[in-house]
Amino acid sequence: MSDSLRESQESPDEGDIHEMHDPIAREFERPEDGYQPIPLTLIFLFFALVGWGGWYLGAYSGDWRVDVFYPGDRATAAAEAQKESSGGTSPEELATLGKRVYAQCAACHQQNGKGVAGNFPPLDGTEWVTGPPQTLIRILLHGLEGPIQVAGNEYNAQMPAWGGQLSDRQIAAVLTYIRSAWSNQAGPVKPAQVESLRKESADRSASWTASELKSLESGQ
Amino acid sequence: MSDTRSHPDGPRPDDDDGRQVWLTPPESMQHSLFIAAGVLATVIASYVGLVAIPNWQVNRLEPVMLDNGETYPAERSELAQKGKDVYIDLGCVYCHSQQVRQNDFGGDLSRGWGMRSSVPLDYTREETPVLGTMRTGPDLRNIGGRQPSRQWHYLHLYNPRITSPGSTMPPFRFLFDTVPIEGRTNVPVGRVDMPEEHSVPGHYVVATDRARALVEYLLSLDHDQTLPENANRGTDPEQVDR
Amino acid sequence: MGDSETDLERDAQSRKAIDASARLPVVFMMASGVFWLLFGTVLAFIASFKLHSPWFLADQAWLTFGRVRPAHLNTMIYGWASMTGIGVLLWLQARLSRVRVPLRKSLIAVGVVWNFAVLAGTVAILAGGSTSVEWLEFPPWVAAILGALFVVVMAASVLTFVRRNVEHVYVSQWYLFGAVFWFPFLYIAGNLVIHGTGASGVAEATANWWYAHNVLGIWFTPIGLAAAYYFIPKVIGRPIHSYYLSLLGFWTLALFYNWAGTHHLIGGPIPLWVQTVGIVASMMMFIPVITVAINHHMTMVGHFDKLEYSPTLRFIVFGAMSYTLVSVQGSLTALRVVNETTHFTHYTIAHAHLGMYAFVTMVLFGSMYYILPRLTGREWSSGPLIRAHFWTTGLGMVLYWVGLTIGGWIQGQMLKNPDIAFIEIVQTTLPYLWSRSFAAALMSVGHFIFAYLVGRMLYEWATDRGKDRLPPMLGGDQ
Repeated sequence: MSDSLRESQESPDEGDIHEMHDPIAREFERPEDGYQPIPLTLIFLFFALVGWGGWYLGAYSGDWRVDVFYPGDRATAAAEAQKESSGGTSPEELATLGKRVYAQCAACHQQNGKGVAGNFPPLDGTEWVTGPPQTLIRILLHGLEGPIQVAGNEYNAQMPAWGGQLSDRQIAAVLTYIRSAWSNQAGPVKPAQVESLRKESADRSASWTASELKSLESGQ
Repeated sequence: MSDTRSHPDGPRPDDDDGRQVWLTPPESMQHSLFIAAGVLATVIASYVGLVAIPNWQVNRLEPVMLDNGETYPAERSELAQKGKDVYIDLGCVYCHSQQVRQNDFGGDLSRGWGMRSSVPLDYTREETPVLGTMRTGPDLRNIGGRQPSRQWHYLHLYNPRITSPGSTMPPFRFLFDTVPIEGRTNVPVGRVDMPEEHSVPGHYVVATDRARALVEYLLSLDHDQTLPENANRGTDPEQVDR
Repeated sequence: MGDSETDLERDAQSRKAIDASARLPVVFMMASGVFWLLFGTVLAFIASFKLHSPWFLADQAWLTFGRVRPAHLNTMIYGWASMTGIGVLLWLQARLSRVRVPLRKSLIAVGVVWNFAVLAGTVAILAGGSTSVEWLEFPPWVAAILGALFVVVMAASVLTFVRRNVEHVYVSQWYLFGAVFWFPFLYIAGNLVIHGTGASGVAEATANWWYAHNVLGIWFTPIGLAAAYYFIPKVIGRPIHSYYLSLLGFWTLALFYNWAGTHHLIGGPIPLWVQTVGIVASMMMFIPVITVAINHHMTMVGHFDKLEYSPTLRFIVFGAMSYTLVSVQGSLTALRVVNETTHFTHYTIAHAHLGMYAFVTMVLFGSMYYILPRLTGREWSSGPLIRAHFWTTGLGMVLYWVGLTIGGWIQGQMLKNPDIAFIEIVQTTLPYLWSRSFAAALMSVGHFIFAYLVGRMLYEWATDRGKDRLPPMLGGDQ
């Protein structure tokens, strides 16, 4: 018990026994420490945990490099480089890749390919998609503007050009995907087809219009 | 009050368990200097480890030259930079992340949120990266590439349910003005192409400067460029190994 | 200490003197805390409602979700929990050191300016001045004021501790003394490096999560644990189980907690080693958490019946158990295999509230139930209302956590599957978001009941009434 505190505190109100006893009745001068030992099992468990931590830290430190991002990152770099040079072009592989690329289209055309009535045309069940692949490739390379009839409804909006964003393989992939997704059952598109049309229209910068595309189609 | 048991927090009969000392308590834990030094050492260590060293590692990254001769990451335009301030003050980060996770972690690549995953180099020019921790809405790291249409963004901000039925994003109508058509000779800058059923009769809906800046910023979010080898590599969805 | 009548009386007189010195600063801090609790509650409810009903209050920029949410977080963190926490800290330290609270006038001034700073910061966020750096949304100039005020609190706390009149330093003292060093360093360093030119790019994100996780880890957690270590043995009247466990728990927490924050960035554009350090530190947190849980539980064993009577014990034990739960959940969530699902989902929000609410806030409630009657000389006015406060907040929190944890987990599983359209995920989470709003309503009711109880006590104190009331018992026939 402190001496200095006792000296410094104001003298208690002698007359009010109730008030003086109140703080005593209310509480003990706790808390105090007990001194039970730490169970050995617990100490053992904690050492095991620290051991695991050390192992994990060593195994997944990525050599403390700034360019290693996930477990196994560096070890697979060489394998990745090889895979990159030989991306598959079979219809199945293209459709798988195309499904990923399609995420970029789903903002307007929606995941189910039905579009948004009045704003964004559907891709499901329309001849624009299941018809000649050249038309589709052209739309993707350079975009489309002006009025267009899709599945019996008229739309009038700007479809952006994707030729600058997507590679030949990615365009072929996403087209292969939408031509076979939902109720569509048209054949695959090959990267080579995209490549040749890209060359053919290399100096074009304007978007296509629906009527231009129709006349190109009938001329083919 | 004389009955001590009458108070809920009042004294209870004592029990004497655990008073026997197992080991002598260390003297050092009675000293303020020892405790102060100890606690400061722990927090300074973690500061060095989690703030200073990563900062030093990341700050050494230099912009790189891409195959097409452009420097990456490119500097943002002034308008887009203003748009980022709008993005920050409206708190978009509380629902939208800006990071495509590595090696298809969580399916980020499969979902198409990027053609490759994000790497520290992508953020080197950003004073305040808005990586985010929540995906109530989609990731926006590459929204500019995924949705390059300015009009789409205007419509979506004006009323998200026009472009994305079922969305729970709040409308940002306060970023738009309605201007009476009557008496105007020219079409105002930033006019929004409202679909018939949402248009305001007799009025143009016009994007304010803040809306235009914000959309400019969103369109600048496109970090899908293939980086030169070893330039802080990202993974591309076709190369995922799991 | 002997148990003779005179010793008991002398101890009681010293407690009385200490409480008298703590009266103004501590009551002011706590009353301000309750004000911010109500303020933050209103913001919380608006934010929660907006998530399932986006048209709600959508016409004004200052009420948009992206501003209301950080305003809620900051008023709760820097208003409610920090101010009340400082009140609890000052009182506990004075009691444990057996000295009077020093720098009383300065502390009251700190409280006044603090209120204005939090108000200014909150208005700034709502008006468009938010920094969008999570947990540091206040504009830098507000942060500078708060940082300076923290230094005064730190000075008062250090003075209290070095002047102590006890030979044996009790475990709560370590935590409190640690907190007053940790937090000012954290807050000032965090603000300087993030708002200054110190960090850019992804390094700013690592600094951000080093800071944000540590606000809970080495500011609120030490205060909460100090309170639990104090009140549990105090109320049930027996010593804490084991000094050695206390010691082990304290230093392992100090060692590991402040490395755990980068688990918020797992999988992101952050070097693997930074993620790994966060994961390992999170797992290592099992050590202090299990240690503290055993220590508290073994102290409580055989005395759980007292939960029925003491409001303090009820809230504190609820908080201490939540600490164990939230920490175990946090450690497991840091594992990559779990994190892949839970990251970016409402699961994380549920987890954060389990820490800040079920642990920290409930412990603060419990502490106030003990401290305020001693400072004002008035008893709580209604047992049934205290019970209502406990059950609305307790059940509300359970409902909140269960709903969002399940909803967030489902959300995470769906996000991992690219075949599921995003909009479908949004729609699936809606019922869980409604359940959260319902839980928020329950908790709000509890907060208003609590504010009424505190307000009535302060009113009676100020108008010199209600001195003869007996303390309410929560249950039983006594």
